[in-house]
Amino acid sequence: MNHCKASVGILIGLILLCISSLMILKSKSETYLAIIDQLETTFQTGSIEDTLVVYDKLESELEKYHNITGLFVNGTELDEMREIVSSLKPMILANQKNTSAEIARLRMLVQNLYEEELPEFWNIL
Amino acid sequence: MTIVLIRAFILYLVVMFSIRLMGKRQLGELQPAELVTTILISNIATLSLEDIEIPLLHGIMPILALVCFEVLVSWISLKSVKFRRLISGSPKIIIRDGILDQDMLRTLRFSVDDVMTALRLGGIFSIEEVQFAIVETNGSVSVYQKSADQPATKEDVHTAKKDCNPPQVIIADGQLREHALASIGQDRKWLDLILRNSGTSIPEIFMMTADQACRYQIIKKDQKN
Repeated sequence: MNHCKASVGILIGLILLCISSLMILKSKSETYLAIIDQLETTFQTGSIEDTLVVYDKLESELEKYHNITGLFVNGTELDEMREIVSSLKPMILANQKNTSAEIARLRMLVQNLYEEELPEFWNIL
Repeated sequence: MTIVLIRAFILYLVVMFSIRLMGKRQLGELQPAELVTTILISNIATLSLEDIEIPLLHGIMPILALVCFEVLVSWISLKSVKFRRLISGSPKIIIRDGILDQDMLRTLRFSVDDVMTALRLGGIFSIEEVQFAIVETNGSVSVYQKSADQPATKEDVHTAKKDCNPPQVIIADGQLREHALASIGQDRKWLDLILRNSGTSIPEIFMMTADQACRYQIIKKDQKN
């Protein structure tokens, strides 16, 4: 009977952990997406200095994002995000046209990361 | 490398905890559900150990969840016969009164060699000696011999004595086990008397056993120890 009670307790704990991990991922992703949008907007205005300021914010936020979401998200996808972010700086400095495309790819990755964790039919199967 | 070592240690603790949670039944014969759970746990633990890109929680969570499901399933099985039959199946009779049930053997995909092996392991070499042979839910075969072929018991030859509990270890490596002494219905006074008569003391004894009939055996420590 004690084993049963312990099992029920652990299962409840696991469910709570799953829910909280989703909530954390959602909140962190939203914060990160907001910075990505800000970077995109600033880049469109053409000010490299302002874009670099937002980029620094994006880079420091990525560390926090990586540390927390790395607990429950596969490391490969987070590494891909890191790769994109590190390639953005030289692109911004060179004012390359495909910077927007890379920012869009980063946005897509962050969105997917959360959506893939949602317990939806196609994700489960 | 260090990460792998730390992850291995954490997973070891989780797997050990899980096996303890599954209970002692796990250590004996495995039921189908228990076998599935055990195989899955070992696979999940291996994956999490090998690939450090996979978060440790992705390994720990399914292990704990599977064990919890297993404990709950066994608890429901305990309460509901129908559920137990669904999960574990039911025992099947393959030999009745010395006659093989061939249809049942086909259903269970048991060969004659399997049956004979099981009988021989039980010390039986002829099917005719068997009253009942039953394939249990864990796949083992229980055999009940015909009365004429069963070995005579002490009761049959009227030499049976009063049932007595097996001897208990009272002293192990110079340490007294109070609960063992109490379980044979004796106290410290009795023990002191025995030790005085034997000319020894508790620290000098390697092992002492005693039963309810006050029969005891003392093995002293070797001098070099």
